[in-house]
Amino acid sequence: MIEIGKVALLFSVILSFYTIVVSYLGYRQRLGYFLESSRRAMISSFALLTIAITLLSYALVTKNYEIKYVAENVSNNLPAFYAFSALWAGQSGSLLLWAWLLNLFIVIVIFQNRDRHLVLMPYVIATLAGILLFFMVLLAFFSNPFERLGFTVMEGQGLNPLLQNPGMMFHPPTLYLGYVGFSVPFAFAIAALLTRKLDSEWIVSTRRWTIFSWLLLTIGIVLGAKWAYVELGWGGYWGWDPVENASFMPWLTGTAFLHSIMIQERKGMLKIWNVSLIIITFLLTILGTFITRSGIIASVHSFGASKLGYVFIVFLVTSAAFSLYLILTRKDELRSENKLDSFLSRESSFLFNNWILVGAAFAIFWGTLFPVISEAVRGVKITVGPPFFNTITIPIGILLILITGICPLISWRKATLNNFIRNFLYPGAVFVLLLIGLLLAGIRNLYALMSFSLIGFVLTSIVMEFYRGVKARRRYDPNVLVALKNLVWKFRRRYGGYIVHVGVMLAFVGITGSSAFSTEKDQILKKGEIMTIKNYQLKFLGVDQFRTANAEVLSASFEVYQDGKRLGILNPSKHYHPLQDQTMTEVAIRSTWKEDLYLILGGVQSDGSVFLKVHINPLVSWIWWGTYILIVGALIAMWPGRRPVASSAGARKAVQPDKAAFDLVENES
Amino acid sequence: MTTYPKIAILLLIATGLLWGTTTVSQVEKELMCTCGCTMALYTCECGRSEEMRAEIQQMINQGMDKEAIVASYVAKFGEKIRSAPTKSGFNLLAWVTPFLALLIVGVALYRLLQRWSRHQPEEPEPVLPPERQDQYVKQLEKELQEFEEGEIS
Repeated sequence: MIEIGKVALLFSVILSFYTIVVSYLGYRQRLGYFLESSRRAMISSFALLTIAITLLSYALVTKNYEIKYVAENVSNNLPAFYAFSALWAGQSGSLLLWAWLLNLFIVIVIFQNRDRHLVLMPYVIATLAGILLFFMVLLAFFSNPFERLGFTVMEGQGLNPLLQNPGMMFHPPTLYLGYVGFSVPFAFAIAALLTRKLDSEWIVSTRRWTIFSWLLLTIGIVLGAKWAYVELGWGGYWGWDPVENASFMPWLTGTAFLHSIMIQERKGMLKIWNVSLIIITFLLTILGTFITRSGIIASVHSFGASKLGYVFIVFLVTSAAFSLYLILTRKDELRSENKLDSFLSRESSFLFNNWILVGAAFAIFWGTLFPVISEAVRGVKITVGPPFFNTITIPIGILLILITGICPLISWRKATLNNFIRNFLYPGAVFVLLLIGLLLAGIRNLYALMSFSLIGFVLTSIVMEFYRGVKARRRYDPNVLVALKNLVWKFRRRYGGYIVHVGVMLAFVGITGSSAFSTEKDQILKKGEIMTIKNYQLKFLGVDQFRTANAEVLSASFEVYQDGKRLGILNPSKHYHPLQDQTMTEVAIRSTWKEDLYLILGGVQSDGSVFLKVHINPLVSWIWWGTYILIVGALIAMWPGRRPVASSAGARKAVQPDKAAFDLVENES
Repeated sequence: MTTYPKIAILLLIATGLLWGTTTVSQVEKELMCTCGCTMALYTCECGRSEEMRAEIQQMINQGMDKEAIVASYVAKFGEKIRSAPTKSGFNLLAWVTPFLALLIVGVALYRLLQRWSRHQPEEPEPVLPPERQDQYVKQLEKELQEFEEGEIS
């Protein structure tokens, strides 16, 4: 089994390299059968990687300790589903998952485009195969998941207890799907640069891939936040760890890209900017992996310092240099006539949106790398942690909310001042009313005041958009609900986008509420004693002690009352994992739309008293609900419509195109 | 950790609640945990973080303020124990650069957009009688509708 796995990886290296060569030659020499061969090579490589990942998963679930990776990441009493999730708990397993997903996406791209994009596809496949080759080289020669342990053990080291949480079953794969997904628009951009087909074709053909990757990255990030909230037990969901930052940066630039491509599609502008944005987004996804695996920046997510970091840096620098070379050598073709009909236009507001999103990405990038800069310049190690990022990103976040509200109020091409003021009226009124209301309610936190009022402004502007759309639509569909359904369904991208904005705003409500108004209290409690925090009363009932498959558990029981009304029992606990000699804090949360009551068991004394820490985190559940709405919006925006009919004779012959077909398509373009 | 030191820690924290204005939660936001987890102290729940909180409480009880406590940790562990860089000297760069970059790019973008939207001499708009305008408005709406439907699907 081990040998089959190793051979599969090795053959996949060869096939990736082969694909790059035959794709290139096939395109240069106009040899259709070379291109067909490159496609088959990638499909074969996918089959091999599927065998490899199945073998490793099987080895993990059956606890085959002959394999070093298995011995390091599972143990005899680990339940099967956690044993399976150990596939992405360690370095080489997660690299294998990454490579497998990438190869899966390559196969999907091949099948999606069998009769389309004849000129772009050879280089798209070559670029994707190049990225795959990098990961395959890592897997085959630097971090092989099938490496033998070399001696016999009866028990593995087990899975890190922090990872034994259902959230961890989904957080890394979802994040990887997002990361890997961005390789597809990146590959199309590189292919467009290489073939000098620099119109909007590469953007239009990867629009859904971009939304898909962005959506998965969003879900991955939120799942990570949720995991941190319930598993790390400190009362928060975002710790500005370098790896959290590394996932947030491509999200920000990817969001900027999703907006700015609309300007290229409509006006043919910003070609250099869009190509650069997707290249930066892709490089940031690799940077995230580099940070996790190099040990260059201390992070709670790191797999430990390793040689892999150097290989990653070589890949990063090479990819960046190659991309830059392509942009510089094609800058004349990328140059577009940049003309706006008016400064006050949707185009300008999108560019300001890009300015803020990329500015935020830069601020986080700067903060994440500043320790390295400080060490290089002053020789002094420093830490750039949560207080820095909170200070820097809160004002930028508020600016972002503002621009999200202003964008839909401004028409495409040219907005007249009258039209702008008319659109501004209701959202502006809501902003002022909310501001006054919040001030009267006693809120004095400036950031919270601005944030909540601006969110009201944004949501009203979106409601107005729907109102106007439905009103216009009722000429065709008199029924309001039918009009609304048809409006959203016929203009999926636009209204799906607005629904995403609603989701993001609700998440901002949660972020603002929980950041600005959380309260905490700690107390030592004897059995029967009551702790009071705000309008909650927590009566300590006692401690239970029991064993689970992996851990010894101390579980405290608290009867919870709110304003004297009994709400139920909460059980925060401590789990001691003997195999890893680690104690985990399992929090107990009572969540409502208004606030979360969050209990942390600090410790249990021999006399049975406990040290209890309690947080009241307002509006946290809005973050999760906002995400659900965002998912619905993104799915609507990316839902496929009618597939365009192949536009040329050449494209129809793309399955095994000949020279004439190539020439025909190239001449058309 | 055995039971006695734990009780001592808890008692220290409990008694500390009665002391001056500096609190453990204020100080722990300024420091990193030293257990090697690379997390800020207030986000860490390990054994070492519990000890650190107790140490901090002890220092508060001795009358030390936030700055003095942080300084004592910096003297012991170096600057990396601070959860954020100081706002002085070279470290000031960390704080200023993002805003400076945002400002410079913002001004540049504003100027760029002004240049792009600089008006060409406007042609006089043709004037049509209202009944003919209606006809064109209807036609325009119909075509826009068709255009958008074709575009998104």
